[in-house]
Amino acid sequence: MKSGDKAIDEDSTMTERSVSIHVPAMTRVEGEGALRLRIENGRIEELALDIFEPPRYFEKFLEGRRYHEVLDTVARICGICPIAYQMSAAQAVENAFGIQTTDWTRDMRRVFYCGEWLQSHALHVHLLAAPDFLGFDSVVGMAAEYPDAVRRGLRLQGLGNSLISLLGGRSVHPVGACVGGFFRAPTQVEVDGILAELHAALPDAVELVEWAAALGVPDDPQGFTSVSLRHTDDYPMAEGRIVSDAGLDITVDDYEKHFAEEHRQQSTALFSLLDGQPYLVGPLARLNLNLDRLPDASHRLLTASGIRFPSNNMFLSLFARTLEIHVAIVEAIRLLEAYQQPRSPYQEVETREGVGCGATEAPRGLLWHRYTLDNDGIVRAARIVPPTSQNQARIEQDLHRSLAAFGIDQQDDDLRLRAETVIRNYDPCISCATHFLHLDVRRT
Amino acid sequence: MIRVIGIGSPFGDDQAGWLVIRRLQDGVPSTVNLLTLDQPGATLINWISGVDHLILVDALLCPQCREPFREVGVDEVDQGDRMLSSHGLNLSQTLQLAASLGYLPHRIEIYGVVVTEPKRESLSDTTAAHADALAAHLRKELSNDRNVCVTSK
Repeated sequence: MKSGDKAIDEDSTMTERSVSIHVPAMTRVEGEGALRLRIENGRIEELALDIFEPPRYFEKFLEGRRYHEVLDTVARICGICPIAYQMSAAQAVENAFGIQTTDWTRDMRRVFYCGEWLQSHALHVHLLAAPDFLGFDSVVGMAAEYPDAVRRGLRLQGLGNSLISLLGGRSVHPVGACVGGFFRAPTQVEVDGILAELHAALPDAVELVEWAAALGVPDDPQGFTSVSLRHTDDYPMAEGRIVSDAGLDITVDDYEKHFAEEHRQQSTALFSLLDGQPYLVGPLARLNLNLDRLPDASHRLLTASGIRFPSNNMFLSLFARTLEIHVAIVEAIRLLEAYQQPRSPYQEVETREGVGCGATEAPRGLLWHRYTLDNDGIVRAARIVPPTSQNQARIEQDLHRSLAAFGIDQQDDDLRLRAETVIRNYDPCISCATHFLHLDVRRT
Repeated sequence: MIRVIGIGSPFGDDQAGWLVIRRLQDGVPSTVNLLTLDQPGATLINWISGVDHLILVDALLCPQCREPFREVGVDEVDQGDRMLSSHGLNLSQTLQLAASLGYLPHRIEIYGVVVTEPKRESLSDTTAAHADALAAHLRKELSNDRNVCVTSK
């Protein structure tokens, strides 16, 4: 049901049914979101974000598979962030087998991750989020007035895809990574080629950060707990401890002692809570918790922007993404300028019975995996907690207060736009659907 | 540069666009660039920028169509009210976006391989025959195109 329709109970039932009916038709997208909002006597009496998140089923698909099938399987969970799934899985399986990866593998995994951040963030910033702040329905309209900005976004996204292809063989569902490293090491000629592209893209990244700083987003401070990885030296991507701004500081193995998922009736995705409370993962949380881990050039850019961090304004998530685009380019250049061909791009794997956990920073936030493997390397149990699941309770919490602050007497279309903008701040894996949010408003 | 892009997937009659490209691989001058993609979207823009003559081929669900393939205008491309997703734009939106950015090739042809009764599991004989017919048409067109530089293979 679209905004403006006056639903009655029967229609409400139809809305829920129509959402469930839409799921099978959404094969080319990440899922579908529906927001149910019930207002009585000027108060929000019901607000629920419905999410249908197919990645949950992959845990069962993995049972009975050999360890070397895991990376190819989990890559299919998401067409936008397959590397995040592969890297968390590789780390978890390697931990279960007691494998210490080489420095070369650790560096190249970081480069691989830089590619994913670049393409995912560039896509989200330019094609999905920016139209909200510039007053357009879509990037198609925005491109007519801001063609250079959209061209820049497409260039950066293309560069991210090239970086992914360098190590993954292809940019969509890459196949280059394996437990223990990579199947193939890039040649020096290939590395030199992408290095030239990265250097050429740096001015685009600087300009993008300055552009995002000048966008003018709502000033809407709110309280929330930020959670992300934290690495001893680097801005977090593919490894680190799990920390929060509320004092949490744990290894990835201890995740389940503090984080719990619960099922809610309106959603097939699980709601994840930290010690019983909603929390935030993603670029804003990462930046809030890792300002001192930014590369120098990125830190100078942040300082020059005049925007102060840590920040409790969710609308600055877009800005955080643009800064992370700069981080990704700077880091990829640093690592590839020191590139040396390895003797072998992977380590031999010896299977053993065990349980391993892994966590990396997907573009949308912390992505945690746990695998139980037997002596033959066969997966006996798997658990995957994606960032969208972790942000879902936070999104609902944010919607409650943001819509109340915005004014629930606003027109349905305005309420819907504000709700969509709030949801897009989180860049959920249903971001495709949030551009098409079904809003069922019932007023009495 | 002339580029022919087949859009599709490995499933059922949605393979039609890819089949046309496979059929063209031995029948057009080597200077014609052939490509298969799985979906339109932002990536498509990267593939059409810098192209002078673009030919897009996709499966066209049209139960009432009698002809094996149909050429449609850019303005006729309408994939309904599909969302602007993070996975990509639909074909119509992508072409609009490309036009706004000045990336639209000077010459565009869009062909639909007619699918009358879609099969989900395997390519139907009828659709395969329609794809063959379009491939023959394109082979002839490209061979007669004076802008195609014929080189020895």
